[in-house]
Amino acid sequence: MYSLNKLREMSNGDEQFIQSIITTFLSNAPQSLDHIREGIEKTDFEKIRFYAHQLKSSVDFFAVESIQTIVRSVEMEAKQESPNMVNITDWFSLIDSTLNTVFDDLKRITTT
Amino acid sequence: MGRSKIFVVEDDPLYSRLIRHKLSMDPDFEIRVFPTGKSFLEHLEAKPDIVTLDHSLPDMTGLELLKEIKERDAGIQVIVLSGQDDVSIAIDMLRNGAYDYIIKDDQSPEKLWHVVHQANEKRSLQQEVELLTSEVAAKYDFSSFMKGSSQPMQKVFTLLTKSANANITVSITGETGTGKELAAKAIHYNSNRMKKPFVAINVAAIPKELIESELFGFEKGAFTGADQARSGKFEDANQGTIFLDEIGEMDLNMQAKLLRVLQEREVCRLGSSKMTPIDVRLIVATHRDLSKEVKNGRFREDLYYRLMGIGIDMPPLRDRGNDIVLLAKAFMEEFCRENKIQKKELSPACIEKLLKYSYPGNVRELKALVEIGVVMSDGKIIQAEDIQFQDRNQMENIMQEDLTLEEFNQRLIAYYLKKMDNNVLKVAEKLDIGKSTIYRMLKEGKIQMD
Repeated sequence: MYSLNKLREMSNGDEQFIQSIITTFLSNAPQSLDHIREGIEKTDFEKIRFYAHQLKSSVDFFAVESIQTIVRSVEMEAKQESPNMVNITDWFSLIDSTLNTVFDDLKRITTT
Repeated sequence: MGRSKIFVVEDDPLYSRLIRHKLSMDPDFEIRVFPTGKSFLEHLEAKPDIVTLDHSLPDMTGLELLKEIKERDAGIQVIVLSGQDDVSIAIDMLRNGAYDYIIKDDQSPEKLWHVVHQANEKRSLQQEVELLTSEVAAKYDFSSFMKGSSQPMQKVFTLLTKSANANITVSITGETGTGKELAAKAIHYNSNRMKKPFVAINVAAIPKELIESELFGFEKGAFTGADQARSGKFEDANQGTIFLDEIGEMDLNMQAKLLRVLQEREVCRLGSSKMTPIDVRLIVATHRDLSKEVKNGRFREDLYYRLMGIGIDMPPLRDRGNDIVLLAKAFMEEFCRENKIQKKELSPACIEKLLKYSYPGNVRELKALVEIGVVMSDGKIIQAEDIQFQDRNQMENIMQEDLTLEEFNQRLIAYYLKKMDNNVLKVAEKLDIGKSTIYRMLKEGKIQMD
């Protein structure tokens, strides 16, 4: 579902760095999801676009492959002149559930 | 060449951590991170060598920020990072002076590492060229810093020349506004350290709890809020000159630390045990008599002797005779040129008025007076009445002017009438004269109420 290979490669064996990046991800990515959710509720496409854009690099870095394209689709759709909210909502639902599973697993790793 | 300053402008906390971690692997890089364009611009005067810029910031676009950076300092290398795989954006950024454009993906920290190193090399070469150019253009000429042909200034110029030629500590004394920092700059830019930094710090302007970190720097975590390491002024001035203004205001505890640095010629950042060798020329200035401060126990005797070096006493403007006219004309011409105003002249009465004044604020005050005079004057000539001295000095002016006793009395009464809101009774009491004397003068038009 995800991979820490890139992170381990970059860390040069610095476990503290790995922990700090995971902690940052666990603290910021859920906030980005909340912002996108709020954007959907308020039909605020700029907000959706901005946080989908921010989420994109984290999803890439943790190699959450199943949603990499979907996050990009949300960003692109939110940029359209007449965005399709139904598509955005469906895509977001997938992103949300996938990332929550990733969060749970990362929390498990960091606490063990 | 010291450490290169890399400023990272990135609002994504995860990405900023990744970039900081990657770039920090090079010990020659000093990294600072800013989450918004605004917070970065507030620190742009710290002169980064390289900026990595996220194209999509919450408060401004990457293009806006890039233009602002290039407008302020075209030499800064800017590398743009963007999640947008959009060729038109990339072309736009490169056209506006970006060094490179990197698409954000899992490989981008690695790409950034290489591009930052290339940009740093380019920046170093640029700086080298700038130094060589300034070396060619440099002139051994104090007149570009200070003007004056009076006896006291000739003495100053002699001492400045001697100081520039010797790598020795210089202590400059003098009243406020006499040009102590200009003298320090004149020494530096005429010395063999001219191509290296001149770093000035006003000891009196920095809270005593911050002065140590300001002078010697600190490591990350050295104190609450120290979220990144920072070099101190001594390190910044390495191989150049450090100018410590108002040294007499430094507290005794800090004096001991400064003494140790001067003796050992190495500094230790707060929170670190690593000593860094430094090679700086020290120039200090104060408006206080340091020997008296030593006697009164407010200044360390050992530090005093170490700082003494060549002593230069900047003369007050009132002792510089015709330099006043020389300077007034120079300030006038400079102000007219900068503000695109037609060149003006000083009337003889205006020159006389300027020469009689005592200038408690010295050269700085003369400059302000002349600039106001240029603005106030209607024609091509600046008249005496266009020069307005501050009220606080009014009594001092009266004392400086050649007045008859009667004129003196009139000016004195007029001064107190203005000060006491035209209350004749109070003024009469204050000066111990009859009310009728004041009324008579008013009636005869010798004095006037405002």
